[in-house]
Amino acid sequence: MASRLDLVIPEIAGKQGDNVALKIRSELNRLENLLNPYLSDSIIARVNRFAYHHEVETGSELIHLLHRCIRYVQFTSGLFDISMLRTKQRLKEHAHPDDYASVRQQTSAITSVILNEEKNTIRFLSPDVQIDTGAFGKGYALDRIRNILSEEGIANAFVSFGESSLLGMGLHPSGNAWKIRLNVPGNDAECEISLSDAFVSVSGNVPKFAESPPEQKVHIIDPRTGKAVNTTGVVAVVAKSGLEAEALSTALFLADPDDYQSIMKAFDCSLVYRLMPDKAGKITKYSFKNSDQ
Amino acid sequence: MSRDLPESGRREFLKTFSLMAGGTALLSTFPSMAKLYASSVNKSPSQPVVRLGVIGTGSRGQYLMQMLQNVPDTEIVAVCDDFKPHLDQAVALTGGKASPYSDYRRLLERKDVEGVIIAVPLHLHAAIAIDAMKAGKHVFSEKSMAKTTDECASMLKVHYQTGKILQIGHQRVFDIRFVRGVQWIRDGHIGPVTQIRAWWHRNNDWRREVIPPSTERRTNWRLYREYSCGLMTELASHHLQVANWVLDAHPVSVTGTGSINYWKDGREVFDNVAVIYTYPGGVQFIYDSVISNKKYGLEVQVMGPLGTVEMEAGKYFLENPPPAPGIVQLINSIEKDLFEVVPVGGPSWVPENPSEDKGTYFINKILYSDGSDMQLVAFAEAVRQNKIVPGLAEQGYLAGVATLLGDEATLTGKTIYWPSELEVEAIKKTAEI
Repeated sequence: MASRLDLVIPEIAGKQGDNVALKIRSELNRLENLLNPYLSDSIIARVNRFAYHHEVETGSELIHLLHRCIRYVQFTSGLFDISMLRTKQRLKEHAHPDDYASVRQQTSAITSVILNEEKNTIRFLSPDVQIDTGAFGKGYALDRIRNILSEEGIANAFVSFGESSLLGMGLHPSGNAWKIRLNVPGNDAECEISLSDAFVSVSGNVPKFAESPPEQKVHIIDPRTGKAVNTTGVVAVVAKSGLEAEALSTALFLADPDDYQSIMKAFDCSLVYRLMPDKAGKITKYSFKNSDQ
Repeated sequence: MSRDLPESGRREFLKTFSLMAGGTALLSTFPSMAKLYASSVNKSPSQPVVRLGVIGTGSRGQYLMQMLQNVPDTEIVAVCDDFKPHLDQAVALTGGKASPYSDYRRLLERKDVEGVIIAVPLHLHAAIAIDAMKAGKHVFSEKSMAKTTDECASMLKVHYQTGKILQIGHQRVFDIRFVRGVQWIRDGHIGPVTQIRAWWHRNNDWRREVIPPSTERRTNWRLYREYSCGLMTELASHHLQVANWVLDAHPVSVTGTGSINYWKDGREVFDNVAVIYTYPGGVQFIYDSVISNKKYGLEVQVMGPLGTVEMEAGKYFLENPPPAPGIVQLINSIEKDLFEVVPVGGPSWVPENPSEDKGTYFINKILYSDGSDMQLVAFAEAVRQNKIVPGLAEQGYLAGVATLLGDEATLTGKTIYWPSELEVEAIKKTAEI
């Protein structure tokens, strides 16, 4: 997943700490082989390569995971879309805005992904669909890490996966939660979040993004247009599941704030922070509580 | 003469020396050398002056003489060259104090000369160095060691037989950037060394002005096979010494190629070479050299699974970036029983540019020395103490032989293996007979 994982477990004996770290490392290696589309022998790479030509058997874990993701696609009216990897690659290859339309024409919707939960197979109905695990992989991995920590009897821990996906389990040894402040360059608005048995996912574009060459400005794709989104700003979602937090943060970055509540209702999410530039370009913070929680 | 060194220059010089001796770096790279450094830094005011002769007073010889001006308590009492203009310049450099000789054998007859600095064309190194050691003189000879592997072996053998110092001018052994780099690698910071990549690129014809025209071959001796092996002996030997030092081994084999593809001016040595040396354990040392492009200059990159060391730049790079500052702060706060807000969390997008890691310097200060002067300090000190630095002659020998095997590979297109008779232990045995 091409990201650094930082794991902080307070007050753990050295040997147990080594053991836990080894288990987590082993699990991450397993997930790499399942979900990294850039590893030629990974399961998702085989799916992306062959699923248009024939059904690809994947085992039940990936089918269940993709099934959940497709539900999130539905909950977000398609703003969270896991089928955009090929679109993303094409946008990088044809970075000029004039190419967007033709790229979009080649792109098919998530409805072209067919999961067979009895046979644990995947089939694509369009040659232009490829699964982009970058949209949810780290969140899922954090869920798995949380399970390992719980199984090991660890109640208090803090985990950062590439800084964009975070988990605070239990409490800071000297406090009543894990308190973080979002580290968003160019952001004057303070955004502190208290985490206790909760995940945070952060989606968005830092100011440096705007200065980058076009081929590098392909980070978040708006499935409605097939275009890369150039807006500078950040959305942070606090949720009880890493996977849900990650799906939701991407969708809410694209969504109109008026639609936030209706989207949030479908998720086990408590809080959303939106840090976006106002008309004067100053980043302003808005927070949204899930009215269903 | 060095007693006349201005006090400020001397202080700077000794400060650098002290920096070299500090810490444990030298103790594990060249244990005996630390003693030389220490004694030089803490010298007694009444220590004896070392009297040296310089054989070969062309540009390199004069450069070394200028360095010697800064070495405490040394004196150049004799100079030798068979090219009179160079000899006259050398005498002038000593303020007329050094006696001139056109035949090095006459210089070697002087009883007061304790050691000689040899800076003659490559093909003459062995004969003069061997004669000097047999005449009871300690020897500092410019790199590369000699023009043939047999000559290298003979020099090492005479060194063992006479007990005289034999130091080859690989100044990187005395360059603090390299000393610290080797130590850092040995401490395991980059994991096991898996590959070394090095290059030396220049953009010039490598010619020197010829006056008069009849002296073309002797002036531009580096360009002719009779006297030199070109880029391999004149440049690659330095980086081979570094590779041997880093890996604490010599190559098992070498393949390579070379050609004259740009400077087609009658020269006989290649103007570009590319060689791959294989070390024990399958570690490759990949080297190339050209004199038609200087964009990439020179470097030795030592790579392992955890990081890279750029020896010439004197800096290192870690494969895995350090933890986010926020995580470090979190750990600190837990250890201090503080409940603080941790600055962590942000979007995952980063530019797909090459790593912007500028590396970390081993020494955060402008260096006074690149080792060229330090090697002379060490030599003078070793002569004063009449002590051989264990392993130093072997460094020169192994680099010299590796260089020549690489040259043979470029000439034949074959894989050349290190001959068993050229192992150091084999030379020691022949020296005992």
